[in-house]
Amino acid sequence: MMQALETMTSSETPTKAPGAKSGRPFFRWRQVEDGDRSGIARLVICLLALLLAAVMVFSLTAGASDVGPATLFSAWFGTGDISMRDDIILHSIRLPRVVLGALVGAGLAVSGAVMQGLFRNPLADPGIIGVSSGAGLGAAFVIVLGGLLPASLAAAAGFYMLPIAAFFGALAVTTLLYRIGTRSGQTSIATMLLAGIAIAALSGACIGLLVFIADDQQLRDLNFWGLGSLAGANWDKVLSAGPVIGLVLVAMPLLGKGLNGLFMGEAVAGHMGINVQRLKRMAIVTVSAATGASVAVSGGIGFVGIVVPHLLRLVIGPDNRYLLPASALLGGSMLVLADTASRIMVAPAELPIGILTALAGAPFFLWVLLGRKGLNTQ
Amino acid sequence: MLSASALQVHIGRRAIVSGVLFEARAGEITAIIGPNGSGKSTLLRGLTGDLPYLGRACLNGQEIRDMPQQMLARHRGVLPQHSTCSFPLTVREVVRLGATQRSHAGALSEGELIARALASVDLSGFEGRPYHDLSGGEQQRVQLARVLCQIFEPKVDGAPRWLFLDEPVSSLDIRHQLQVMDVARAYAEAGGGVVAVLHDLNLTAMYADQVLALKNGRLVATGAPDETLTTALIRDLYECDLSVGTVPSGHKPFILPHGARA
Repeated sequence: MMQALETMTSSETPTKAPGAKSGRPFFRWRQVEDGDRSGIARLVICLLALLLAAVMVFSLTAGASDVGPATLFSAWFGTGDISMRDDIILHSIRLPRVVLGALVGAGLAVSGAVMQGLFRNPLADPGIIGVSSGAGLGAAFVIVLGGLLPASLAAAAGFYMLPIAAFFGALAVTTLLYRIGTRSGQTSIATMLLAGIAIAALSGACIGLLVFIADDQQLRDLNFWGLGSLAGANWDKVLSAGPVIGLVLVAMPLLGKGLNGLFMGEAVAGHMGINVQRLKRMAIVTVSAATGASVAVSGGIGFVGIVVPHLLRLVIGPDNRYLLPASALLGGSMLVLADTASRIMVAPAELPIGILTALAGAPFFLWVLLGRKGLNTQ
Repeated sequence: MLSASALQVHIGRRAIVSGVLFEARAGEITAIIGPNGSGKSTLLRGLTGDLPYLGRACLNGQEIRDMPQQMLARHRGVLPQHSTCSFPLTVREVVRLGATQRSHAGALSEGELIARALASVDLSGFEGRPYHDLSGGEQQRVQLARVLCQIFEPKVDGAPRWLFLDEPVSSLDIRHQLQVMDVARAYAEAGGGVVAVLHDLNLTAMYADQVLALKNGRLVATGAPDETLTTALIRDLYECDLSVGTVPSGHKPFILPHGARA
């Protein structure tokens, strides 16, 4: 005991402890044994960046038509002498779809991770607790009733109208859920999930009302939310969702440290000097923006937000400074891969990608639900 | 110096504690005692800046409600009664929260800081253990190590730092109770200030330099343990039958309970 006190109060130069900052190697297995997973987290982020690049290139060369790796190589590195048909397939059909898939996957996965940090709850997911349906309601509102808006407003917003409406839908739901689900800084899983079900049902009913009064063209546009698909990808959609999701990715480093502070609850975060109110506002806006933009361009693709962060936590731990960027990279890779599968599995037809993610994600969600004993999440 | 006058701490609209006047000095352990529901934790939470208050409460000469959160975090650490963690962190990752969030980078590297904080709570070598696999007492000591990381040097810019402990030993065995109180005493002896809510009167007698006795939200006695821990006062405070004796060596009081009837 006296020795413990001495180590605490002594002012002499200490001996080098394991994990000392000076000359720390990038990664050692020893760090993991010490409970320090930051090294492996950095390694995993590098590998995931490579994975995303590889998956995107692979997806460009796969599809119903015969445009393959050879064509891609000659278009990018060779003479560039390819037929106009191949050029259109590569650069106007597949490339925007791959880029959009990466953006949406990153947006949904980061939304999930941020939401789980904010609700201090590993089961939060924008699809499960109704945030996506809120965003869908916002988008449906614009599709059906957008014509009633002043023409000048519609012209000014242009193709950002849909993402903006989806953002406000998602923002309303997230704020409402947080108000309902959180009592004195503690979020109850049951309250959150049940409130999410009620809110999703309400949004669904409102979307149903909009469907009821929609005309044929609007119905066709609306139908696409139910399924969730990247099939409508084009450069306009990339340009409308890209900046929003890009901003979210830029905001990640600001959120990571603060969300770590929330691990022990809001009171402890406050004790450690974190401005909890500001952090919560920032997290809610981030989640709404990322979910809103994703839903606006691709409809309700579920479960990416819960599967990706959960898998990553198993390997690199819950540290949000690493979890958020890693989620963005893995989310992008997984969605592009799932989209590629949906394109080639039943070619020349397509499976809606939402079906694939739900088939894989729903059992995963149940597995997480059953395996969370020991964590104090009520 | 931590001082309060005409202090009234509110939860919602209700004043739970009122009319509190005291001064706590750096270099000492100030214990807050009193029966359940007497407002001990509420008083502590007013002093840590968690609850709104009326009157004056100054930490190192600055009004606490006017101090921004960052500045408060630099000058005081808080160990709450219970801490829950919703994600599977390792012990190192929990303790590191205190180290990475602190605004004042000391001479120690992060790794050294964590190792020393864990050593001081007798948990050296626990760095890689999953936090959720630990016993309640071990978890409580990990939390104390986290708080120590935040305010490791007991002084900052020449001013003392303050360690607020809300029932720090309630889930610990006797050896670790003594050890945690020794950590608190070492912190005070190195120039910091300690304010602790305590239920154990004998620990209070052993370690406190000043005792604040609360009953029904009012301060009923303030002073050194041998002045405040008297048979009459403690009987009246807790409304039960007990007697206070003196340990032959050191003239510290000890409390021997007899029964629940006063």
